[in-house]
Amino acid sequence: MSVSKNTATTASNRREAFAQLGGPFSHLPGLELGATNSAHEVFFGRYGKEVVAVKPYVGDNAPGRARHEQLMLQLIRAAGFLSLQPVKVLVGKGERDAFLLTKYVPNLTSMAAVVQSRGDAGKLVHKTAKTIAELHREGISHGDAQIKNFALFPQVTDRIAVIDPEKGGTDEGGHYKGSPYLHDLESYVQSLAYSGYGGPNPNQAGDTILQDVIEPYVEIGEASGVPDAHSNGEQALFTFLDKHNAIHTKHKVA
Amino acid sequence: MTLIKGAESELLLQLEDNVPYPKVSTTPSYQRLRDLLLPQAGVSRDDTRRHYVLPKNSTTLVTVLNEASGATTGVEHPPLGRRATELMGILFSNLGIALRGIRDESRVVPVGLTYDKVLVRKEDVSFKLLPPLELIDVTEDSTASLAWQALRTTFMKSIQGGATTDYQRAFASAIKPIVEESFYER
Repeated sequence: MSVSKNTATTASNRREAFAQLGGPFSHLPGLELGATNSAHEVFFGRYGKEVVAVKPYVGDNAPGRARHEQLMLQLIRAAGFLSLQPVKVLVGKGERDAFLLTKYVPNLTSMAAVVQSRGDAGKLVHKTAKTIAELHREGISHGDAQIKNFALFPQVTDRIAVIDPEKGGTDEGGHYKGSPYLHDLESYVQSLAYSGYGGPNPNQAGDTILQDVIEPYVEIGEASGVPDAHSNGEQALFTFLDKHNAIHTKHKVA
Repeated sequence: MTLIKGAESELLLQLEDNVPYPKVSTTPSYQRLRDLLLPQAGVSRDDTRRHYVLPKNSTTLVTVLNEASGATTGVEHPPLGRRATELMGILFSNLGIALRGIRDESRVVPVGLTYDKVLVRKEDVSFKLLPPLELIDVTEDSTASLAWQALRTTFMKSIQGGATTDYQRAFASAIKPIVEESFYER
């Protein structure tokens, strides 16, 4: 109970901090749904003529981090991927808060929800793995490639949207993590393990991940010269199996 | 033509002509940027006499470049002849140099600059940019590098983006390496 109260307070504080900036913003509470899993406490509103999602940043270098994500989104879009369209970054007094505004996408579906509920999840997980390989082909790392950081946009059936690349980087400008491409792939398979993707049987789950994630990633990666695509694929499979084992062992003990 | 720094709370700078230019904060590089921009309202009658919008097909482009450079004879054939290639190289090299200078001196990089915002100026084949132009603060080196990559990728995409016919696509393919060269770090 105290957690939800704190969360509500924090979210409210962030909205207040944003409101103090002034500007042509009006809150649209009816658009709250969908943001409940956001660690950043994303909220929605109208900014001038635009309906926007507002992603707050707090703490160290908040403006720099917001600006970084803005540029990553722009680069990812310019490189031909589906992503959110940045509108602008606003910075609070003292530079302790920053807010990234992106155009609101109605009915966006997180891939985290897809793997829990949709019959065609396998195809979409496969497509997401290809998207990750294609990002790497362009020299771009996501930095936090968990399943929840990919999404489906309404009326776009053939592409997976890349969202929240705040820890992303590029070969040209540098990456946040060492071995950034392996890190992306491992984040992806680990998040799938947590979601229960592939089922409780380790052999079945391993086969599913191999088919839906590792094979499409390695195929595209090797064909397009992504560094260490094959060995990263192998490593990610082991990582998935370890994580799967740890999760299911824990459940048995519990 | 004015340059404004956005409200204190904003990282982005927006160029608009309805806000007075802040005389006190003028720096040589901001001045240079101001020189690059046409008025917010777009191309005035006077500007029309002095500038061309860069076209997206090669025949028109070559005509424009010939006229811009004062040539009276000869129109080269598509996709691009030697002279047009040379002129485009000069034009975009100058653009790349100017934007790099602004980045290094003022620590700002344009966001979302596209091909159709570049105008070529008659007589000396120099260029102007159509406002509004958003700038992002790139005080940190890593941000500067990422912003530059985003600028280049966005600009390159905009060349191909408007091409809807085979003819336009051939033209875009012809000028792409010229532009790309101008935007890569040396």
